[in-house]
Amino acid sequence: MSAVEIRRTVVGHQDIGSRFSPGQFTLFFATPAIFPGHAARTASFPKKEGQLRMTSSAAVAHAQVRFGFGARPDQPAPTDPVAWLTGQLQRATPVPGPSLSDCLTPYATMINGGGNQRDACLRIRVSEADNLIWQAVTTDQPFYERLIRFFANHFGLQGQANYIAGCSVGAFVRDVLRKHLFGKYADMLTAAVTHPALVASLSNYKSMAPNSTRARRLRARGQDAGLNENLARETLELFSVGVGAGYAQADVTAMATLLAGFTVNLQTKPYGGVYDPTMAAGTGMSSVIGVSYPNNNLGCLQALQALGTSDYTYRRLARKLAVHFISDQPYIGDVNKIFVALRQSGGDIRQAVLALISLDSAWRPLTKVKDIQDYNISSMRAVGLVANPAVTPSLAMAKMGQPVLAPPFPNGWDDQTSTWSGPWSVMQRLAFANYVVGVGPTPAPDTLLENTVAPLLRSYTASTLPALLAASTPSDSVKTILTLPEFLRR
Amino acid sequence: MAQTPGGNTEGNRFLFINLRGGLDGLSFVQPYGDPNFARLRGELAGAPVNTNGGLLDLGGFFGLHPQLTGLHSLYKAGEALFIHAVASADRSRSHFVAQAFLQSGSSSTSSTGWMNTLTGLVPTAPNPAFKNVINLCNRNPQITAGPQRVGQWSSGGYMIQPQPFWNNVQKLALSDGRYFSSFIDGMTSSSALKSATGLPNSSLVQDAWLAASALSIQGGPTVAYVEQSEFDTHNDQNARLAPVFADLDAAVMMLKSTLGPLWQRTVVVLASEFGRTVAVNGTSGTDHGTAFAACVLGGAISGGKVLGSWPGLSSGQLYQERDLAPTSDIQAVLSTILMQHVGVAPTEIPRLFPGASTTLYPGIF
Repeated sequence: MSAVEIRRTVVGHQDIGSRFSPGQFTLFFATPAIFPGHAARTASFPKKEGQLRMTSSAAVAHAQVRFGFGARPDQPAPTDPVAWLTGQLQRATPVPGPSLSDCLTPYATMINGGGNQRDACLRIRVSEADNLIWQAVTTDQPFYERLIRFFANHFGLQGQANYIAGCSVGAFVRDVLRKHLFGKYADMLTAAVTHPALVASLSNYKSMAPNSTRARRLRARGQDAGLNENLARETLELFSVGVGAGYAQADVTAMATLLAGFTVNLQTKPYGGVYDPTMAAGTGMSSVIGVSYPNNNLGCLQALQALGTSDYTYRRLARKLAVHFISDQPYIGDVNKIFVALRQSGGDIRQAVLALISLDSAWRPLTKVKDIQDYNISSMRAVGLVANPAVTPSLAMAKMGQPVLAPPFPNGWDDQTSTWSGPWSVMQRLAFANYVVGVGPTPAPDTLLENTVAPLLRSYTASTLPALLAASTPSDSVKTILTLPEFLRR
Repeated sequence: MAQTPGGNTEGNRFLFINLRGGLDGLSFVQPYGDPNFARLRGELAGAPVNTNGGLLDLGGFFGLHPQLTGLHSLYKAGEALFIHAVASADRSRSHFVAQAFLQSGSSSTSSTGWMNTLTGLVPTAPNPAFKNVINLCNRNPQITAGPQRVGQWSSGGYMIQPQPFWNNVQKLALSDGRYFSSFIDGMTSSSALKSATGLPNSSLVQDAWLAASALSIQGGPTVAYVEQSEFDTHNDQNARLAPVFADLDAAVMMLKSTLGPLWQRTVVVLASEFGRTVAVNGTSGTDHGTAFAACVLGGAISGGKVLGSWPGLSSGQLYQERDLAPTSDIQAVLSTILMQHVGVAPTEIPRLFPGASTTLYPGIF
C-alpha cells in the first residue's frame, strides 16, 4: 500500500477522520480510559494541603514529559506528580564543575603569552556542553534541570561567539542560573548581564564611555575607543522589558554608557568578571526609560534592578514560561496568572513556576513538539544511557541543527512547534533513535513503553502498536517506540 | 529573459538568501566616491580600486568588497546588480522584529512567513512527491512557517538511509498530521537529494549546492530559501567579514555552476534585516542601523548596475544622524521579482506583504 493510499484509508477511519488535519499537528485528546489522569484538568491546583492527589500513571507520565525529559528506567516513578514537581523547587541541586577562573585559565594563559591554548579552550566548551546534557539525561530532578535549560536559553548563551564566552558559558549556568533560580529575577538578570559569558558574547568587554580615562588615552594614541551597544540593546530587548516597552535609541545608548566598565579580568587570578572604572564615564547621569542613574558601577546595578522588576519584564518572562512549557500560543489568562505571581512576589521565580504548574492548561494534553535537544535527552533517558565517553551528545545535537549553548542569535532557540518539525528535522530524529539504540543495552520494548508513553498513547496508537511490535525485532521495536508521535511531544 | 507581469513564468526558479544579523551595506558595496565615506568609515573603508587587494569597481562610485571576486565577474557579465540604501519599513533596529518583518511582512514573530503563503500562489511542483517551496536550513525559520506544507532539507546531520523500522513509523505517524507529512516529505527528499562528496567544508556553500540541486530536480521545487547568520559584526568587523564574504562568493559561484542551464531562468536575492551604523563603534565594528545594500543575481536579470538613489553620508543626510538613510524598499524589490519572474499576480502581493505597493521596482529585468 502506498503512502497516499494509507492516508486516504485513514482519513476515512471513523476514529481518526474527524480529527485528522494534514496541515498541522493534531492532538488527539485521549479518552479517560487511557488517560485517567485527565480528570486533573478540572481539578484546581491544591488550595489546601492534600486536596488534590493525582496518582494515576497518566498524570505522572504527563508531568514527566511536560515538565521534565521523560522517565528513566533506573528511577522509580513518582507517585504524586504535583508533589514530585514542587519537591524539585525546594533547593538548588548542586552540580560540580570547574570555577570560572579555572575555565578562563587556558585563554588567559594564551593572551598572556603562554602559547597556543585554542584546543584547551575548545575542550572546556565541549565538555561543559556535554556535562550539561548528561546532567539532564541522568538527573532525578528533571523539572529543575528543564528550568535551568529554560533560563540558559532565555539568556541566549552563545558559546561560539568567542573564546571568553566559550570558556565561561558552563560557569554561567552554575554561578548565575543554578545560584539564582530560586531567587528574584532581577538578581539573576544582574548576575547574568555582568557575567563574562554575556559580557564577552555581546561584546561589552571592550566597550568604554567616550570620555572615560581609558578611551581618551587610546584616542590620543590614534586607536578606536568608544561604546559598543550590543549588550545594552539585548539587555533591554531580550533580557528585560522588550521592544514593547517603547524605549528609543537614546535609552540604548544610555544603557551602554552605564554598562561600560563591565569587562573581564584576564590579568591576575582569579580570572572573571570585573568592573573597570577607567572604562566608565564616572561623572554625569544616564537616563534609561525615564529614570536617571549615575554613570558608575552602582548606577548600572540600579538600572538592572529597575529593569528586572519592571511589569514589562514580568509579562515577557511569564509569556516565555507559558510558551516553553504549555503552548505555542498560550492563553492570555494563563500568562496573566504567572505575571501576577511575579508581580506580587517582587519577581520571585519560584512563585512564577508554582503558578505555571497550577494552570489548568498545564494538565491538558501535550501539544508542543520536543526540540532536537529535548528529543535526544529524552531518548537517552528512555533507554537508560549513563555518561559514556564514547558518546558526545553535544556533537550529535550540533549535527542535528541545535548546538548546545550556541544558538545563532542572542534570543536563543525558537520554542515553536513549526521550527522543529520540518522533514529534515524529523528524519534526523529517526536517525538519532537508530543511533542511540546501538549505543547502550537495548531495553525490553514492553518495559520501555510502560515506563515512558504507554499511559499517553492515543487510541489509534494503542490499537495499532502491539501487532507492529510483535512483528519487529527488539531493537526495531525500541526504535519504533522512540519515534512514536506521542514520544515526540512535550 | 525579462518577464512581464502575468507572462509565462513556468519553469522559472527563485532563491532567497537571508544574510542574518544585519548586513553592513557600506562594507558590502562601498561608496568610495562619496566625499564623506573615507572619513566616516576609517579602518572599515577598503583599499582604493585598482590597487592590490583593493575594492572591485562597480562603475566609478561604488566598489565591491575585495573578497567578492565571483560576484564581481557576474556583475560585469550583467548577471548581478546591487540596490543600495534599501531597507524594510521597520525601524526598530531589533534583529528579531526586523527579521520578523523581512520574513513575514509583519512585526510579529508568530505571523505566517511569506514563503509559506507563496506555496499557494505559485504552480504546484509537477511531481506531487515534492513541495514547490523548499527550505535548506537545519530548522524551519519564520519565512516558511505557516499552514502550508513546505519542504526542508539540509546539509550536515546524520546520513539518512532507509531502516526497517520506518515501516512502523509510516503506519504510526498517521495519527499526527504534520509528523506524517514531514516523514513522507523527508523520505522523498532523502532519496532525491543524495549528499555530494568533495564539497568545500563550508555550510553555506553546501547549502547553496543543496538548493541548486533541489531546484534542478525534474518536477521538483522551484523556490528555495537559504540563510547565513554571521553578519552581526559589532566588533572586529574587517577580520570577521572577510571570510564570510569569501564564503558567500563561493556559495554564489556554486549556485551558478550547479544550476547549469537553469541559471538562465533563475533569480537570487541576497538581503538582510537592517544595515549598520555609518560610524565605526568603539570596538572596530558597527552597531544596528537602518539601510543596507541588497544584491539580485541570476541569468534572468538585467544586471551590471547599482540601483537605488544614493542618499549621501553628510550629517544632514543620515537617518537620525546615525544610519544610512533608506531610499528603496526591500519589499518593492521582492514584490517586483515575485510578480515579474515567479508569476505571482499583483492582487496577491498584499497577502505576502500587507500594505506593500505593487508598483514595479525599475531596472531589475
